[in-house]
Amino acid sequence: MTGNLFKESAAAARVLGEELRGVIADLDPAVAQPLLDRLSVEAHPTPLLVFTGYHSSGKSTLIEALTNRAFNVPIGSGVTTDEVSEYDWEGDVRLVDTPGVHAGRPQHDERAERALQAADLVLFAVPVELFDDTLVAHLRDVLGRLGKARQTLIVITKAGTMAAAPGHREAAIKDALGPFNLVPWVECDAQYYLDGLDLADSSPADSAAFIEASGLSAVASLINTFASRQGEMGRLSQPLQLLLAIALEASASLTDDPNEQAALNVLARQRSALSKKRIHLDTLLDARSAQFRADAVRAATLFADSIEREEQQDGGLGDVSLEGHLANLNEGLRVALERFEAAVRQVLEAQFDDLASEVLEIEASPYGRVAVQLGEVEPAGFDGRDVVIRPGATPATAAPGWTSDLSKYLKQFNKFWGAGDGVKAAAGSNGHKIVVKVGHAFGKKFQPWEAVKTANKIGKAAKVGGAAISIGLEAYGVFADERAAVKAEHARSERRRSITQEILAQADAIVADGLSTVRKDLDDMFKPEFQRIDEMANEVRDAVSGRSQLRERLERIEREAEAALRKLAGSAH
Amino acid sequence: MTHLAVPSRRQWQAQALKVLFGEQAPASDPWPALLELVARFQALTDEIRDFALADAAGLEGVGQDVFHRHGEPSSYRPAVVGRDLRAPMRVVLMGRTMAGKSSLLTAMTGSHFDRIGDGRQRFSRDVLGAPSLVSEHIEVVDTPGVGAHGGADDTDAALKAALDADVVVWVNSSDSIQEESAAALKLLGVIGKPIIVAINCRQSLQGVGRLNLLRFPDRVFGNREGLVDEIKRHMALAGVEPLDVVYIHALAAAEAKANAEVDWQLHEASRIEDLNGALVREHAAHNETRRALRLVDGHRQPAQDLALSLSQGAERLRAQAARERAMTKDVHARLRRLVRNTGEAMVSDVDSAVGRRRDWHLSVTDFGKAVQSDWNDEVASLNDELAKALEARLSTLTAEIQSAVEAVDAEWATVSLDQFALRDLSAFDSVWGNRLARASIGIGSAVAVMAAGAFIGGPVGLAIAIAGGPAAGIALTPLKNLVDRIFLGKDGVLRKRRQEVAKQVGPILDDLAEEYQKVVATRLDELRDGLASERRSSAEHSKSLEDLAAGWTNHSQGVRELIREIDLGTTSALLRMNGRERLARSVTRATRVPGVCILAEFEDAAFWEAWLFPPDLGETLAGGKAPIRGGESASALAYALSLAEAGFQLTKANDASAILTTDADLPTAIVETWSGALTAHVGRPIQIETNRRTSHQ
Repeated sequence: MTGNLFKESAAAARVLGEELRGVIADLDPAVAQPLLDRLSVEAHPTPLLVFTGYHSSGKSTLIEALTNRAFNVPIGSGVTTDEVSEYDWEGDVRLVDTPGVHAGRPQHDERAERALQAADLVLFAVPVELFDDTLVAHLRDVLGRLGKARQTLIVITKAGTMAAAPGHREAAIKDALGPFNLVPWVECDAQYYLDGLDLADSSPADSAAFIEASGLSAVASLINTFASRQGEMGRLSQPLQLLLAIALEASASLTDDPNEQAALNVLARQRSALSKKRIHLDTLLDARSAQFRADAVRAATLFADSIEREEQQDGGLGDVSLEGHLANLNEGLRVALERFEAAVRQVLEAQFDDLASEVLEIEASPYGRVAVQLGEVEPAGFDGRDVVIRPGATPATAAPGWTSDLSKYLKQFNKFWGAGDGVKAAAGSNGHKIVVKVGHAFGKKFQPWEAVKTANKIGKAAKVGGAAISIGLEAYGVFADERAAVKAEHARSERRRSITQEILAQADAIVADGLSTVRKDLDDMFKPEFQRIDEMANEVRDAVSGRSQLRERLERIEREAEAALRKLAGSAH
Repeated sequence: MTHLAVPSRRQWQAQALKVLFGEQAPASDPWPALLELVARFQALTDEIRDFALADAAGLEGVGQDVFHRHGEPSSYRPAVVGRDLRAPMRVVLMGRTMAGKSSLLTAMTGSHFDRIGDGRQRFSRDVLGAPSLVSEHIEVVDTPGVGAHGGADDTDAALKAALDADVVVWVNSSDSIQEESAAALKLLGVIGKPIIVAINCRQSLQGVGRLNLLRFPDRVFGNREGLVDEIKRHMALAGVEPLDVVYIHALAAAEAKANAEVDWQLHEASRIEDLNGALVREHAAHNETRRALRLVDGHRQPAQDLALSLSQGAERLRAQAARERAMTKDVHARLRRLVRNTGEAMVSDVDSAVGRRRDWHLSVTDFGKAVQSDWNDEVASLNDELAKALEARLSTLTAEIQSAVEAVDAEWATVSLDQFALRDLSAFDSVWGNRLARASIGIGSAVAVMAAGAFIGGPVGLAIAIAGGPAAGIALTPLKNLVDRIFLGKDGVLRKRRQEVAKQVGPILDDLAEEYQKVVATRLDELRDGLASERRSSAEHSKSLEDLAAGWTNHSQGVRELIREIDLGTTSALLRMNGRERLARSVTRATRVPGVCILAEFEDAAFWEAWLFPPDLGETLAGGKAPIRGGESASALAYALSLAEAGFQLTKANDASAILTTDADLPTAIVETWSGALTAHVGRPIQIETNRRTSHQ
């Protein structure tokens, strides 16, 4: 089975973090302490995989299979998992097994709810019997209300127990997903996989056949796709990036040469500023997305309200007035999108401005001054006056061989990141480029709601409602026809839900599409810069012939962290 | 022999002086006034020193060791009262270990044969004096050798003894002068002790060795010019030149007196009489003035050190304050960014968490009693989620602040204070300070290295937690049931409730979001306030450093005033001792550079007298007269003319500065010392340029 990237990258971060801690502990305590502090406090949240679905839908078996039997998950018949169980996969990944959904309402208990909200990936287990209304409601609740449409994988868990004609399962899933049609699905038989593991010693051939038939590797590789999609700079890579920045800083303390020390510290600070900014941007963009969703929900609610009001007042919904409501809806959605786009642009502008000022600050700091002066870029002078007498002056040493490259690098960095007069003013800067691009990122718009299509969707409820209301005019009839009326009211709720879900699905698609473009643009800018920083750092470090053992260890950690990042990025494609 | 000017007219001074300038007034006893002056000087410098220390006492991070120079016994000061003025002239033998000092002591005193070493380092470890054989008025003092491996204590003891010397005999073996001993020699020079260099030429006396000494003295004593030049170069770095250079064979001189019968042949061959002769001449010429200078310098030199330490310390305090300010600016820029970013992230957390619940009402299907508890659950989960997220942000922030502070601290620790210091010694200090610097006696070592810390005391207090979330009205208002049911029917009730719930959820979420934003803003404002007060106290600390610096600058000036006063008094006293009562009375201002020169301003008539017949005080006296207005810098020429026989030209002079040029072949350090002395004396920058022909260091 393919390895699990959630697990692997978290494990890499943990193991390399421990090694780095070991290396740093051997350094001069004055240098080591701040680094150690940073290494321990910027602890990352461990990735969280949440399993949900019906009772007895094989979630527990799936957990066992995916972790290669890392846990002894109790499995029995009937309702096996009554409450949320959490498994700590070697400290790297948390797996949460939720009790299945209850009939009656699509939400479940509080802990499950919280786990689902916080999930990095939801594995939605579906039995071969496929969906019923409750399960569909639960699915849509997770996708819609909890906003996990981009972080959910549907797994048909016991594929081996029942064959299905091609297309059936797909059709059923498509139906269940409704508007959220981009959610991937996969089928597997986790029990086969476990059986295969059991047979490994006694009958290798059978074992291989079972494992092959289990389809679990397809599940694993889909999971890895999700892991990669969390982004080069996302939660998974964050700890690895941090490691790299700290390792770079640690290597700066391994040298006695003040020039080398200054150059490496500047590079480390630049690296850390960039990676922090990248993570910060994600946080802010997520919040803007949440606001956008809220705006979309508000538009949907207004739309539903206006339809219902009219139904009640006029006993029905005319085509002309429907057109009017739709126009309002479309306008509301357009405005929401515009606001979102503007908000994203504003976030980017503000953050790139901030980054630019930080870049300048780094150059103006003591280390930055040394590096900049080395590179013969026009230095900003200290306020002090000229020197008259220099008792105990340090002897001038020859500039190191890498000065001209450092100079080029710093100019480039300053040009792309440090345009201090604001993003808009500096046409060459990265901030400017990406802000200009935001408009293209949101090429995808809400599809206009059209009368014919919409009428079909809302018509049924409207008719029922209309009938109910006309009957209900008589006080006497209230009780007589209450059953029908209540049913109609339920239908209205259902209609409301479906309208909202439809809109949210679109909103999510727009967010996913737009932000993934923005994020890709960001990554296209940030990734090469990290590479340039690392190359420059290597050049500076390689200039010294003596290679201490500590340096070897640091460089090995760096190489492995980079490899883990590459692997994480690699399976995105 | 030396570059110092000894005018030939001094030969007929005795006859001419009287004829030209008249009889001297009856000489008064110079000592009572001098002793009183020194006592007063001591008391006043002590007082200033105590004030300066008291000023610094309250300030964190400012060392008390500002006034202590390592490896130099500056704390030694001779007692003023109860000195026996008839005591013999004190000649202190100093030199590298195994240079032959104790042999020389034996040779010169005819006693203490047991002190002669046996070829190991550090044989004589104590200070021991004995009367000289040639004059009861000369006492010879042996000291432990300097520069022995692990012999820092010996060096210290030797230097202490040298400070109490009237004349130092620098005993140097014939081979070389080593770095350690050169440092001690330079220090003696900087302090201003008169130094006679005795080259102790090595030649074993066993076997034919004795014969070699007797027959071929040139092989033993000759070819030492290179070594003597090197010794002179070292001394020149301190701005001084040897009083005399003699070549002796100490062991031969000692052995000549080993037996009851003096071996006169060996005695003569040892050339010890060259040294004795130099000392007897020195005693005859300068006994009293040397005594006075020893007494004065014992107090003047620590005071000069104090003045320099104070002004250097002030400079350093200002540099420290400047660095502190720059560092404070840097750290707060970083911290502001951290706080701002955290604030943004926290607001985003709130927006995200609240935003996800905007459509909560759509998921409600049961509008019975469950609605309220479902909603409560939802709000509880929101609170829980936010509390965790926000707390995590804050604890990360705390740690980030901590590590940013540490990083800034580490980074600024690499910034030398030199980057901020002006390092411009005032003219007065530059004479003394530059002599120290050129002699490689680190100025820096005189000044305390002050801690960089004390700008942010550890982590910023961040007791921030949002416990349980804000307690706003987050409950849904109870849904009316009975009445509605009658009038609206069950479906109507349902619809109405749905609308009510839908209507309430939005505003409640808005309130919640707002409440959380408020909490976030409040907490961050508290944090910002905390940082601002840290910043203020950093600024205050910098300010108090600058205040202290200003105080020290004042104190330093006070000490300089006292030094000017004692220089004038000393010059007067020396002139009196030299029998020049008239000059003593007419000196108006004096600047002394111990061991180098005394620049004295005379009233007009006395100036001519001093110019024609310079007094012989043991230290070169260069006379000048009060300048006309605007002629201060040009007035330096008069003094300069007395400094070197070769003469000077006034190459350039205006009311602000002057450049003097000399053809004399002088070591750079001596010329610079003269420039500094002139600058200090006339109060304008004076620069002496030499048309140098040879390559003096």
